[in-house]
Amino acid sequence: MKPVIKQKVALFTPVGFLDGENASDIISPFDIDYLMSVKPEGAFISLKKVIFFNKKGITVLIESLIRVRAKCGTIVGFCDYDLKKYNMVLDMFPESLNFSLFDTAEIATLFVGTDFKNVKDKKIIVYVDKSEQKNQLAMELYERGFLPTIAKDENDFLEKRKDAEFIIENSYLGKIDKTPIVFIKDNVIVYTLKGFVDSDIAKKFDMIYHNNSLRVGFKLFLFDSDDVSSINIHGVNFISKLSIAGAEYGVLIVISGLNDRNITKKLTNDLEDAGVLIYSSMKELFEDGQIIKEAYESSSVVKKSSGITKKLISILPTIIESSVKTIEVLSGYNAQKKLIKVQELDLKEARSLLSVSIGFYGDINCILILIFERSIAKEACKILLEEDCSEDDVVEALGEFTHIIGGKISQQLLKRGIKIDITMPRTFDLVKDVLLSQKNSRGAQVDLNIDGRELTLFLTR
Amino acid sequence: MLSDTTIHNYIETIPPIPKIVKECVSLLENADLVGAADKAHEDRALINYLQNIVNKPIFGFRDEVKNVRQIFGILGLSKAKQLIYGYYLLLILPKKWEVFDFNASKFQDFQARLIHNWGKIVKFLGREDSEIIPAISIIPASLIVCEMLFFNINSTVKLLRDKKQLSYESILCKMTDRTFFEISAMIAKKWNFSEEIVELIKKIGDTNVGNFGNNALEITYLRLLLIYEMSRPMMVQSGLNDFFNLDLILDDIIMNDFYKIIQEE
Repeated sequence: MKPVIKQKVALFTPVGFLDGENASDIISPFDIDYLMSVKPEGAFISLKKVIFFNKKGITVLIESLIRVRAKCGTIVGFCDYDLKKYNMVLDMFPESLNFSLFDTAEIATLFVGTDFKNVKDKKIIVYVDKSEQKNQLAMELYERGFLPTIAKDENDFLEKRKDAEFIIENSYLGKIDKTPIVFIKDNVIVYTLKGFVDSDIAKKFDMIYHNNSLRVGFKLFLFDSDDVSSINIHGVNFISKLSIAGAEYGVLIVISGLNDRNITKKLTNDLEDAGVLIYSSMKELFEDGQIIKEAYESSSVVKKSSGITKKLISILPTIIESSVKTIEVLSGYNAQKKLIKVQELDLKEARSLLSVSIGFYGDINCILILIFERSIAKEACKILLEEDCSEDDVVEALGEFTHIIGGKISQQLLKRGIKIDITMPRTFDLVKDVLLSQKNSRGAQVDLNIDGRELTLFLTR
Repeated sequence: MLSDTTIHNYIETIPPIPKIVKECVSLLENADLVGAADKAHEDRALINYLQNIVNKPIFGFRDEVKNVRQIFGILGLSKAKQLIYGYYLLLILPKKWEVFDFNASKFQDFQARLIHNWGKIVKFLGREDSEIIPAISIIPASLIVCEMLFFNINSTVKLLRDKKQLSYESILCKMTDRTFFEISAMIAKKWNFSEEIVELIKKIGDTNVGNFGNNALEITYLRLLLIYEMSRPMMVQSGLNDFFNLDLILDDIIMNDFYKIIQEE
């Protein structure tokens, strides 16, 4: 059963009965290999649709995920259960749990993964019987930038839970020692380092995620070393190399939390020589308005002048056909081509548009941008949306929609022997931002008519 | 994108029930087991099907059963009828499965297990005469319908499922406002099943709990059985584990009874 991976969290959702007989098919060796290749930050099994489970089934599943944890440092466990299921799992492992439990999949993503939208606005209440667990859960949330409310006692909890969006009542933090944890704050990618930082960092660091972040335009990367006991020459070399490699993209690497106890003077100098900026704490960095401003301004990276190549023109029909077919299947509308022209991106700024870009890399490197009229964006990805969805949900669904189109293009190109991977999609709310990101770039622009409204595809380098 | 027209076009392509099979059903409805067996003898494909399915391990016969009179005699009226209805589905069985890692043999295993276990459940409930009994034979049509409808858009739907935890049933509902049970009911109607059965098939997929009248308990057990069978390793491997999107409200008594029934030899 292939998991759904979102914001670096993998979720398996088995249905029905879960026992020793079928557990090894729910997470098969193939799934384990897949997880090891994508290195998710978290991997969980949702018990929402499971109506019966026994210890054998639970053990087989969690042991599979623990293998992934051993290799990639992934946080693993179960989520989406009621009180009865929660108590059953606790009873099955009376000594201690070496995995985590989260009330819901949404709550799991508060602790793991890269979903950091409106962190400070999320209304979270924590009330767990064991005070040690309660504190640990709350601390972890604080560290990730949330502002949870901790209920003092049951009455306090009953009173405050009415206003809470997330109620953390039956959760358990198992072994969480992933290094580095990654999250985004104020357009800064923050890698949290813990313990000893040595040659292991190169094995555990998610280079694909880092490279994709570069491609989509992040410019400031922070290594938070507050919890680092010691960093040696291998750790320093790794961070220095990232800094030197990132210079091509105009990227700044920052490290915070270093002190006399965890790094030598010489290694600190080595970092500085490699262009790494050193701040005493994460707080100090985020209070430095100048550098944070830079992180925001650079989120729309102006590219050097570039044009479309013959190679891109040769795959253009496949890209158009795959995109149009996927749009038609998912939206239910017929798409008619109005214009295909090699030019700079030409959009009327006054129109209300939503844009998404996705990068392809591998045998061919290019960027595909889809620009939707706002009125059709919601209809186009209606299959990914619930009925009562917000504007944010539409933007997120549009990203997923574009990722599906990217997946289809990747499949079709593979049939022609062209192997490519795709980056995470990036959405633009404003027309001027997408135009700025493509300034001086020529590409193939395809204008489509969908139910009387316009959708533009733009393929460029 | 699937549309209502796609579904209607598909229903149009479903062949009618062969005359011999119809006559066989009619004889079974008149409780004429011997007459039905003799009529079944006139259709070679039907005999093959009956011999194949009845000799699956789930039915537990030590020696191979070949003679149709013997088959009907051992199974009794109710199960014989279910088997004949199950044969209807062979008329629409795809030659090659693309959406699921499935084939005709696995499909018959699934049918055989449903019919056998359902027989034990209705016996336990004391409802062997209920109008819901034959419904079990037509439910596997849902799998075939899904295979046929999603065949042409399979790769896009797979990408969609990779991104979002949507079951095939949810995708179908979002695209056409219909459930697989409603489409199975359309097939049942085309094959002249009674109005009661057609309505019951629709209700199995109905999420409005508490609207099932006299058949509420049977429908609960039927849903439980479907989910149980979909959890078996063969179905998980075939990509069918999350096929049905059925909400279940269960208590411990029903669960315990269900296990007791299923584990009985």
